[in-house]
Amino acid sequence: MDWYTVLIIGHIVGTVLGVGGATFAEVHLIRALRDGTMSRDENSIMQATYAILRVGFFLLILSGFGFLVLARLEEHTGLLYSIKLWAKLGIVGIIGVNAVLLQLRWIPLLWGSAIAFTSWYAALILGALGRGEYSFFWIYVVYIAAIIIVYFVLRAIHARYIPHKH
Amino acid sequence: MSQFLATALVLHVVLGLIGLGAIHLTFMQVIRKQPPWGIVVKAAWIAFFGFLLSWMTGAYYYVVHYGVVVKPLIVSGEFPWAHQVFMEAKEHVFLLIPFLTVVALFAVYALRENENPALKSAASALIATALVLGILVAAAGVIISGGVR
Repeated sequence: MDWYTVLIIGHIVGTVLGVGGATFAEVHLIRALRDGTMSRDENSIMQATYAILRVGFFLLILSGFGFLVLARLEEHTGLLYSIKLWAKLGIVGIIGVNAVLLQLRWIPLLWGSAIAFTSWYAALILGALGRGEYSFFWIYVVYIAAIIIVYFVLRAIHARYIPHKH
Repeated sequence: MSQFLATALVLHVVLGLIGLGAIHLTFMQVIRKQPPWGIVVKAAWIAFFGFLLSWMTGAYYYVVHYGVVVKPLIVSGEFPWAHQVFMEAKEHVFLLIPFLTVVALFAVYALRENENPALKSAASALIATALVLGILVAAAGVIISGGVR
């Protein structure tokens, strides 16, 4: 098996764990908070989900940089001029910063969830898109619009299933 | 490029990313209300060794190959600022990171013994600085690689 195939497998596994982890983090959070409190078992499920998400994130970054190193060693640096690559790198950076902001509680949970959820799917979609002409500006316009839509969807779901404390 | 130099370059990147992942984990755990100190200490050690070894392999590649072969290509190419701005900044900023991680190690050991809030806040700021510098250095590495054309 050549290095490129190894990196592709690592990148796909990282994306699957990350996107799956981000999806299940939302599902588990809503299920855990349905009765208004988070039990110890529910908390441990959340921690396990976040651990999987972090492994996915690390694999994604490691394999992503692996592609860049391979391109550098094989002198195919054209990859580094791809708008899609830089847009994706920016979104991966946003995932990392958002995780820190959520941990510090410097961002409301719903906005943090919307950013994490949308960013993982955005990274997946950008990775799956074929070669072509892309606009950095439009990628980010669609991405920000998607975050806002996901925020309102999550807010509606939380309002429907999670009891509010008065 | 020889196989040995290629290995040094790959190790420089991989070990740097391991250091970055570990310092990110250290930071995410230290800022918790009740940090799991066992994990924090292990992550801080991994960050220290990751950055230190990345520093050594990167230095070897830089001295033996980059300065002689890659730098002239970049400076005479379309993006000379990739070296003049980003590599010049990177090679100085990167020197600081292993030292920051050593101090972070001392701080997490001290915090494990005594969770002093002022020390915790200072240590968090120090670890965050190492994390941000690590990310900037990694991004600079991508830009410098793209400067070879």
